[in-house]
Amino acid sequence: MNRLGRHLLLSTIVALVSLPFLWMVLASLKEGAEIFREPERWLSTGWQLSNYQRAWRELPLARLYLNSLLVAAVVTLGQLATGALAGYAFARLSFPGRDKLFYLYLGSLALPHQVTLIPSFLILKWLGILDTYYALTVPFLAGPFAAFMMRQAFLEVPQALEDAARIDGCSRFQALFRVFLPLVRPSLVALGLLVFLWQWNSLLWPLVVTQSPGMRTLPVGLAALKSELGPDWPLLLAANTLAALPMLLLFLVAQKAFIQGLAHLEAD
Amino acid sequence: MRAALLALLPTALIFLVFTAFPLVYSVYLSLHDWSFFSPAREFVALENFRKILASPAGRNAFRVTGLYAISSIPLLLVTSLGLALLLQRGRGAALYRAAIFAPAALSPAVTGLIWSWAFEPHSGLINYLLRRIGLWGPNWLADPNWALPALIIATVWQYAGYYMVIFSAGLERIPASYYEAARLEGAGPIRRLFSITLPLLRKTTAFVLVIATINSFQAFGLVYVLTGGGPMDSTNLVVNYLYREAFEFFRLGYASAVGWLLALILVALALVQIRYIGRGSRLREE
Repeated sequence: MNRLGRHLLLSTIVALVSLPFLWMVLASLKEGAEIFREPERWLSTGWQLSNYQRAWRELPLARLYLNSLLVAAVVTLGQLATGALAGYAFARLSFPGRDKLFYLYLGSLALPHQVTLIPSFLILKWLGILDTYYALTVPFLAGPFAAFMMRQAFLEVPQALEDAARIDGCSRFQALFRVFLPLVRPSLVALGLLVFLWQWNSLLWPLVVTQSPGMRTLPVGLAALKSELGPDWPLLLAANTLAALPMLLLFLVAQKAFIQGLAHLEAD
Repeated sequence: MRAALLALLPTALIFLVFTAFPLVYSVYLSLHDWSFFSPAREFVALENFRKILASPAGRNAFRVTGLYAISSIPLLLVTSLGLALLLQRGRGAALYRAAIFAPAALSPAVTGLIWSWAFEPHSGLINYLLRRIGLWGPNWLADPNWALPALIIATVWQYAGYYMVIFSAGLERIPASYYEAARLEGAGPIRRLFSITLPLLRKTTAFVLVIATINSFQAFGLVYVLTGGGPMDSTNLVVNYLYREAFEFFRLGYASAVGWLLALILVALALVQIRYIGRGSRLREE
């Protein structure tokens, strides 16, 4: 295939991939009834932002953004901290049964989390923290994936660097903070982005543990809007466009780290 | 030793409270007849499992999930591998790759709404495109025959780019010297694809297959927002079924059994797939 043909083909594919998204954005910019009156005229006659103004005024979007941001940020920081500690222990500290324990922990990824969904819900209920930020964050403050990724990263740090730090009188934890963590920054960034993305996008758990509209995250809020607003498409599409933007922007800024982080998963 | 204990403490706590104990507890629940509202919790042994397999709704959930997996996985494999091959070399690959991957960065809830609109019978994108080529599209999400295909189309749109990235990483690990040697021997592009690229991508393909299987059996967000399991349960995949049994009808024992049945199927499939991969790699060494 020559170069021009390849670019034409790829541009067509990209256009096809973007079309469903564009179709939503175009509709969200049309005046309410117009989207049903003239579907064939997909380039609207008069662009306008009234749906967006209405969405922002009538829907609790700010609250949903804030909840999602708070939950995703807390979980990301938590997983970075617990993942770095656990990964360090599994990669660099010695204790009996270390590798067996690690693979057992990693193996828990093989069981679908739907199995623990109901008991975890009941535990939160007994603790009396259903429908709180604790319910949305605490169960996810540590996970096998973070431990796995950080262990991989720490395994690649040369032994000589660790020895040098130990000879200089660093304790185990000082070595972690002064030698290891600065060296694995790319892995921390990739892990942080992936955890943030998963958390921001997750639906099932927040749906199960939230009841009041004020505790909902963005995906739960969107799902609820769809059933509550029914056929108010212009409003719904404007809200959904606004909901899609943060992740698309984050992805645009950090796409390299995202893609490399994901590609890295498969290497082992 | 003390350092290791301290370092593992937070992870161990979360694991014990939110994974280990729930696993044991859900086995217990799955063997009991328990509704959230009634205090009685009767031991019924495997009765819940029997009920799932005997009830039309339970059987339907597993059947529909199987259909969804069997039709979406090959589509995902072919499109993502095709895209990765197309983007293997050449200018602008990173840019194209990012654009094609972008839907995977969105929440299934967002994707569900995008496609709810795209499948709208009158003003939706899909029927608009079909009209342009002279076809009259169905009322996708309201038609029991077309809702599952609609769900599959949305799934491929969201995740093809994700698996493409994994394939691309696999392709990058194939040494360029292999291709040069093949070219010198006079192998054309088709020959190179079948003699070098595909055999050396075997491990990556197996990995994508395992992940795609897990993901399709656990699909929820897209189902919940796009179709809600309907119409007439035609897209009521297992996890959506479990969610409804547990949190709309509060049949917690029964729903736990659904979860374990799903887990058993996934573990069995993973074992089969891993065995297959193991045999494959042995063959290559010989």
